[in-house]
Amino acid sequence: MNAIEIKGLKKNYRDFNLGPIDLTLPQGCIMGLIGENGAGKSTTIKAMLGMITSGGSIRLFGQDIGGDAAALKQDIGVVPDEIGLPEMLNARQIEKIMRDTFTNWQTDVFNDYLSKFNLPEKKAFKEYSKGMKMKLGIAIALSHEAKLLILDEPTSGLDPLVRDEIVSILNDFTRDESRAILISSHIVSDLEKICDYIAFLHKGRMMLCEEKDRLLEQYGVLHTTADVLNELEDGAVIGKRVTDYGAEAIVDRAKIPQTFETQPVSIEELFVIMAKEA
Amino acid sequence: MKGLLKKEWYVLFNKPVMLLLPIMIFIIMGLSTKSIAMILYLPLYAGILPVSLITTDETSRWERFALGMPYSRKTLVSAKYLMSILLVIASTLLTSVMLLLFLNNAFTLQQSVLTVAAIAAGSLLLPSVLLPLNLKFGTAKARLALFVLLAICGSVSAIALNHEGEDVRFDLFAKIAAWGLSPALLTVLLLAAAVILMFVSWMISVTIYKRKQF
Repeated sequence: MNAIEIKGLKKNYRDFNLGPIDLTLPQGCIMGLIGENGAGKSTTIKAMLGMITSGGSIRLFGQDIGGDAAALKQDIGVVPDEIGLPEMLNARQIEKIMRDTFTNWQTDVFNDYLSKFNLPEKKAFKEYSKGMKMKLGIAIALSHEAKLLILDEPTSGLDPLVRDEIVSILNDFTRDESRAILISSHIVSDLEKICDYIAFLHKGRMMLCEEKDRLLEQYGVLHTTADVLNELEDGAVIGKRVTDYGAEAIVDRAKIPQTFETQPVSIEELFVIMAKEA
Repeated sequence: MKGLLKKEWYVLFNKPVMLLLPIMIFIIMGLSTKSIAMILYLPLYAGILPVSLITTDETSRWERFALGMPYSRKTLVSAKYLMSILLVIASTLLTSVMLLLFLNNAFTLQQSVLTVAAIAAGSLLLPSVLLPLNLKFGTAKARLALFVLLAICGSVSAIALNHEGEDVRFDLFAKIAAWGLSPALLTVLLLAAAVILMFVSWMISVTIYKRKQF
């Protein structure tokens, strides 16, 4: 079963249009939703959670979110870009609230995360650092046997050590193949480490949604001259940078002669070049 | 729902001194001056408290966070109304005890019951009006509505209460008797009107909240 199935998702604002977006995330996988600030990542996530009205169809675990979305969210752990907990509450009080919120709440798991993340139980939420707040949000999302994690920019503004810690926790989460993660970020390097699927959003449009390995196999970096690039068949060059000393291009490996030697492309390079050429 | 009520409780009683200080002032002032009006402000104060919960929600961006959890929009709204009702009931009970124990010379029992019913109804009126406004426009804009409402309440109580030395009585009771309405019937009518109004307000709030985009 697919954890997420989105077909023709659309949302129109006065100055921004999202979609149409098609996206499928199978269980057991991690999908990275990549896009610049304002590309529509948060809007897509909000639509998935029913926070905004939108056109198209959104199904989570085969169930339309238009139905009993509240019951459906028992199986979902959501970590928004800002953890919206009242600032005067402490972790102990928050645990008591969550215990009466999620039917599968596991106090011992939550306590383990508190000590693992070094989160003080009695300290008010407002006194937590940004990284600590995010960790508490992740602890909540991981303590009720969620089958799907939806994270909106969880590593944004955090130092590399905390980011790495979060990435490693998310990796552990999907060892159980019934689970899945959708994670949005503009820090592509974080997503590159853990994602099975990559979706590129640019100015509200879905540029691609593919398996990461297939993308890395399909595209490569070619160092050559501008003249050689001009001779390649249409569609072979995804994007290029030409200088007085030569040319560097991201190419579709299937569309260039096999004698050409290419180097691996990073997801970040691919996204930047595709966004520029779009 | 239990989790939401627990959250509201923790937020409300986070700073008990700040919460209880106005209550103590109303009680002490009321008892020392034998002013029923001061005591009767208690349920009104309780009726306004849920608005402060919405302010906290706005500041912390709780609503967005809560919509990621297994709560429907209807449940989120209902929690605010339930909290209002519980606070008004608690404060009305406290007010009743104060009236019976300490100000029993001012009213007959029937008048006391009617007064408490009237103030309970009035206290339910506040969240009934303020909650939809706050949910629709946000707390900053809706605060203006609160000031208008308080001015109206103040004017009405000034007209209704006739302070003549120690003997504080409603002239209204005489008028009610002249209209031929029994205090018992009026008590029931007032409370019924308040409950109906609150129900209508809840339906409006749910509709507003269902349309809200986060």
